[in-house]
Amino acid sequence: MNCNEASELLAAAVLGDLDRDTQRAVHIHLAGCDRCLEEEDELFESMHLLRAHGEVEPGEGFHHTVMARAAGSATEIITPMPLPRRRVGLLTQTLLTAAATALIVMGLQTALESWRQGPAPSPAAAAVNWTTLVGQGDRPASSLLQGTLFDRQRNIPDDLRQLRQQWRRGEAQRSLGL
Amino acid sequence: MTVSDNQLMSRMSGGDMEALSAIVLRHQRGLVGFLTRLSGNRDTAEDLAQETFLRVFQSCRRYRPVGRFSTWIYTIAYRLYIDTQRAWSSSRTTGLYEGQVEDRMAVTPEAAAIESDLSRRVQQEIDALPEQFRPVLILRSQKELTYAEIADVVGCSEGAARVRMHKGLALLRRRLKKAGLLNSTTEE
Repeated sequence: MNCNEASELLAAAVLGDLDRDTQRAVHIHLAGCDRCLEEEDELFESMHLLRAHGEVEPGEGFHHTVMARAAGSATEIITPMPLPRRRVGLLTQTLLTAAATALIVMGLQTALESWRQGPAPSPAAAAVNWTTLVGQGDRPASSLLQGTLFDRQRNIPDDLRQLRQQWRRGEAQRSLGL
Repeated sequence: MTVSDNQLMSRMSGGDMEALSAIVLRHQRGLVGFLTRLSGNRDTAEDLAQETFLRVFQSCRRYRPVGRFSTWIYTIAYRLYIDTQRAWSSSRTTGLYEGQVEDRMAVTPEAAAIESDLSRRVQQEIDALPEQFRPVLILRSQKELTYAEIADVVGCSEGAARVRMHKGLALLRRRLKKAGLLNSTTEE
């Protein structure tokens, strides 16, 4: 074994990574070569320097900071997290669908109910009802008819508005014999 | 009787914060030392070590003691370091390696007071080694991990870890000798 070959193997020899025969061959070379022996010493010393500065004392408060951060992280784990955006969207979608379905069902029920009750009374029929009520001495109906109660035009049904106009023209009184 | 790391991890998964405290006290010097040697910066090393312990805590329920605990914790630390390096690299466009070495060699007055001059100079020589050699050298010489464990940590084959160790040590010897840090060169 020459110096170049030995030099290639010295690091492995220092680390004990060679097989027995190769290790022996290196040692035989070292026994007769001061230059390579010095290189081997330097490799041992380099390893010693590496090992000697392996641990570094962390700064004051390191341990406390880690524990505080870990405690904070544990709280985060326990605290309920808001649902992810997609989950919130799905929930909203579901609720809206349910609400829309309920509205449709209610609408259908109302339509079915009114169909069962027959067609809506005509303004004339409604007029008869109102005038009948007034004829029977119904004071609220009479007040409504005369515009003295809930006198808010936009809430007044069409049939009542027509009756009011008739009332003002005196037609309703005549038909009622008042 | 000393409680093993795996037993502490098991207790930690049950919510025992004292177990985490014991893990931190047991490994903080080694981890900060490893990351300081790797990054060349004490503050960065402490930040990364803190993050490593947090990852350990957060993953304690998923932890399976299939290998040595130290291999696992150094793998977390090394990957965090690599991520930081990548983020740092992507934030710069020019003078990458040179700037990196300058930053690594920057020593605060406080750090210089704490660390001996020899330690700082050895650190400078370690810093100047190519990236592929540093973690292998540190893990093998300081943490005494096997080549198989080092391969797991740095993500290479066992053979590659062995070769990197041999070449890295030979390179470090040349650098230490050139810097006059070896006795055979300083003693006349």
